[in-house]
Amino acid sequence: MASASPLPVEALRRVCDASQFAFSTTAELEPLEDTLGQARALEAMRFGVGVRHRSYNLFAFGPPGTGKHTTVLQYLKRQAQQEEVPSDWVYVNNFKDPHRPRAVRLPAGRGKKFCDDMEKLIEELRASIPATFESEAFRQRKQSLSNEFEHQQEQAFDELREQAKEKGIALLRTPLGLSFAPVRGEEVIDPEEFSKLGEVEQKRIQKDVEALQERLQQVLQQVPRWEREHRQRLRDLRREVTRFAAVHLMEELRTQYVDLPEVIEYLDEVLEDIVENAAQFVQQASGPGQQQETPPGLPQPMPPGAAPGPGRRYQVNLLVDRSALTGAPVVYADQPSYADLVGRVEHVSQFGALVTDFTLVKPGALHRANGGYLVLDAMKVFSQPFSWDTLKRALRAGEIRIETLAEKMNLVSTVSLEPEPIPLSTKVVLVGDRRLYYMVSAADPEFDELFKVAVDFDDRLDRTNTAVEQYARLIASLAQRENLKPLDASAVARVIEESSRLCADAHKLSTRTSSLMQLLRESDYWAGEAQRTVVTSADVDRAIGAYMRRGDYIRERMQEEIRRGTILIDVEGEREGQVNGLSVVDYGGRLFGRPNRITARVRFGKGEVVDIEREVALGGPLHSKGVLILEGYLGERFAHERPLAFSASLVFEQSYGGVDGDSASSAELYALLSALSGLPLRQSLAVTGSVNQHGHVQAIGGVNEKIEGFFDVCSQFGLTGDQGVLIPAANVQHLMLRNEVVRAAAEGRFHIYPIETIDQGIEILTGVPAGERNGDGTYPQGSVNARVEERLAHLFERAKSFAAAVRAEKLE
Amino acid sequence: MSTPSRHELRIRRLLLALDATCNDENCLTIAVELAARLEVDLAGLFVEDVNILRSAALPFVRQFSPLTASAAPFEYDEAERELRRFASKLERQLSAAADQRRVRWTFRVVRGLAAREVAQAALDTDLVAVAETAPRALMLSSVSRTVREAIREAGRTLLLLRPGVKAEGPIVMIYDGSPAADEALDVALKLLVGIEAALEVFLVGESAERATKLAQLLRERAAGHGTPIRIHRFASGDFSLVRRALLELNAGFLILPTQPGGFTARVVDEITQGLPCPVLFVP
Repeated sequence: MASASPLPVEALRRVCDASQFAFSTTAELEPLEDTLGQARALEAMRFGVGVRHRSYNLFAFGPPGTGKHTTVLQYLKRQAQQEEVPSDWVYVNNFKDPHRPRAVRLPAGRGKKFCDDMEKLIEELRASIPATFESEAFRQRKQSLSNEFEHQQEQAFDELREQAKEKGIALLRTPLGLSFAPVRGEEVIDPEEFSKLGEVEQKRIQKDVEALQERLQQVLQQVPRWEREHRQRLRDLRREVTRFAAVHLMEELRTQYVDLPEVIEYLDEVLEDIVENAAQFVQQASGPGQQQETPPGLPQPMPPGAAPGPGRRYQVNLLVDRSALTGAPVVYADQPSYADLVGRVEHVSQFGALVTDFTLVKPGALHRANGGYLVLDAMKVFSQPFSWDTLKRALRAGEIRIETLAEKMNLVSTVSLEPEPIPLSTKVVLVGDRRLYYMVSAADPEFDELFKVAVDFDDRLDRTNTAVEQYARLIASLAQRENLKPLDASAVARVIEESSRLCADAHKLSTRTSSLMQLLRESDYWAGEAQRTVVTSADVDRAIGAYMRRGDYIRERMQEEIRRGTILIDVEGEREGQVNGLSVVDYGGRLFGRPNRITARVRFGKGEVVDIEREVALGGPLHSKGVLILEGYLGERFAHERPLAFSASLVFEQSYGGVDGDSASSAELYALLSALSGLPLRQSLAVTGSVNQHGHVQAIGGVNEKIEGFFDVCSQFGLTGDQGVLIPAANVQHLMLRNEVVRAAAEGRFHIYPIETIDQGIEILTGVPAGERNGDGTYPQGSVNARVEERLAHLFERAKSFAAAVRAEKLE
Repeated sequence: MSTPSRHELRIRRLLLALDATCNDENCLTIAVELAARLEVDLAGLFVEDVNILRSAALPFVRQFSPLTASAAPFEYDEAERELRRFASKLERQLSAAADQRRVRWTFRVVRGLAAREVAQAALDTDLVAVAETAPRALMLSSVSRTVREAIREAGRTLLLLRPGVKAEGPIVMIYDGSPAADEALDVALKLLVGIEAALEVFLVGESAERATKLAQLLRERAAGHGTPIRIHRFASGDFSLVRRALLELNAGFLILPTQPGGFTARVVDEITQGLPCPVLFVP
């Protein structure tokens, strides 16, 4: 077994050499047009957009800040420019069923024109129809009809009067009606006088009056029919003159839309409706306070709304206007609530009641994106009530149906609108994170049916020379886009190093453009503060330092508590069964490392290792797993001949917030071996790494933060040159340590040891060889393993003696 | 209020003739308004028509509703009660309207023949308002025509109120230079005192030369009143045009001079037929 040596300085941080760049500042660089490091995602985008089937919608996912929205929108906009502008859509009145407005499709740009044309038509009708009704010709014809009607009545009553007069009887108006009475001259015969008449005369008069009354009743019964006929004639007359006034205007319009049968059909219906509803134009023409005759039997105008007027029922509600588009639409719906997706039907208050009509139908994002692309934030879609179900329904059915939420939930039973559904042909791109994608995919069987294309964004790319060059161009693009000062080569190199640090890998670069953007903005700020026109590496360093400093409160407090001895951490000397473990703390995305004292105690027992953290429910499952692996390791190494006859307890000292992860399992094992062997461990070293049952040390996360955490503690007490950290050898590739750590290592004041096995680690920690089994199966005398085995043998012997004594006691 | 007229108006009292057929409260309001403008007293006269009472006393006479064509027994007591109820209602309405406009008023109920009673009462007054409130077909010409003729013959000014009449709009008069027309002009100017509106004057069938002369005459007579006069000449003398112009102007009041030998009854009918405003006939 080769013993581990401290890592050379070059391995601690992969420096980006600024001299490799051929530019002085990023202003000289050509901006990067393509998305960097997302080849897989872009390939999926191409495929998803290319497949013209309604179930091939896309779900773009990946870590936050990787530019998913930007990449998706940029790609779609480029693609959309090559596609045709889709149709306009309008809603018009459905005269047969006003509660179901009709949707009409028009070629792009003609929706607006149609809307304007109908407005003009309404204006014309507002003038021409009242003018027609006020014309002398109309008045004469109307008067003629009225005269005819009156004449008809007068004639009937005149005849009656004449008949009565011939018989000496007069038709009288009474307070409540009409009656007949015998007269002499102008006066009705007095009843007394009447009684003096002969019986025959009286009977004659009575008979005559009764006959006339009968005839009067017949005439009166005729009057409603005459009135009805008169009204009908007036209606016919109004229809005739209205049609005459409107038809030539409509003809002009028809010629403009002869290529659109749907529009022509609608215009025909408009004409018929105008003829039937001319009253609205006449009423509008008469000002307030003027009594205008309302043609009997004609419907009242529609309720007034945002644009009241007699022609409201003929207005065109331009739902989707493509007149300004040059390609297919790309819509990003920032707030995809139910109504924002499928549109809504608005209401206006009228006399305390809410009323609506087709002009108050408003479009949703699906309408605006119809014929193009709709980009939605997946989490918002899933978190808005009914949005996901509605989106699925629309995609499945291939149509957009507007329903109010209240109706959908059967909360109201008032009459509302059911606009005719509009055919949907849009490609939907959901943008979210990976976990959400897999969760929805597992939970909703329809999801995979409708979103067949996964667009997987990576948050890192290989740090090759080519990639570094492109990254420099990416930095240039972002700086240019945000109007930031150009960066010099040293600043670019520093940003690239920080990019590797961001993805915790010396051989990768981060594609999280949001973090990169933040660093560039803050570097620009510090350059400005320093009166520089170009951002330098010093500005980048200051930006990084200032960022760290702003969120450093908790880390500093912990360091302080260690310095003051509140948290017990030794950074020098030796202790048996005690080791410095390392953990990473995450507060709101800010990571830092800190040492934890781990102790192990052994005693006579049955071979159990007690994880105190687990016992008190402060240890997570991964930590428990790590501890159980220790048992496996000890069993495999030391229990071939005899069972383990000890019990051990392991604990993270002064840990009150819970522990998880197995990165401390190697440290725990070192503590245990120390306790078993009786060899003290160097407290100037800290340890991280998980271990398997064979004693191999495995990679862990947060290696940089952990090393820096212990370095900071040691720095507080003063670096002795003996201090350092044992890390898994597999983590060497991830090292991107802070410059001050690297400097300390270069000066021999701090050391990083790459460890592959527990034996390597225990040798460094104890200064005693671990020892490998000889041919006779024993470990070399004095080695760590030999000491452990001896201790275990001793404990076993004691266990045997103890068991014999117990048996003897029982026999007695 | 004094009017700088060349001679004082001879109207001192307005008699409002009412009977059991008067159902339009608007007629009362217009009469009250006229009385207020002319600063005259208003005398309401309700005639309980004996013909109605007598017919109600005849056992075989029945009453027919024009609304339902149904027949109902017609009895004396009921007819009398109905007439009194009607009179009370009209008195209340008149009282309310007159008090509001601060017009002195009286109300009297007489029993007799309507035409005769009104004609007789007209002798003691200068201006008689008659409401024709029945639909034309049911207008039993004998009464209102007789009353109108009697008033005209007595040389009294007649205000004719028809169903649905409204007095909103400009005052229009037809002027022919006759003494009656001058009288009508005085009335019109009196009605316009304190109102910022023009008097619309129609010259009908006059030659250009005479129209100029009449216009000059009009302006002289109206001088000092401060009332602008707008003159409209109808050269053809076609009264259907006059009627149309009245409708287009939306006339609120028409004043017609009716001296003997002036407009015939046919012409008057032609002008006023279906005109939704009060018509004042000035003898």
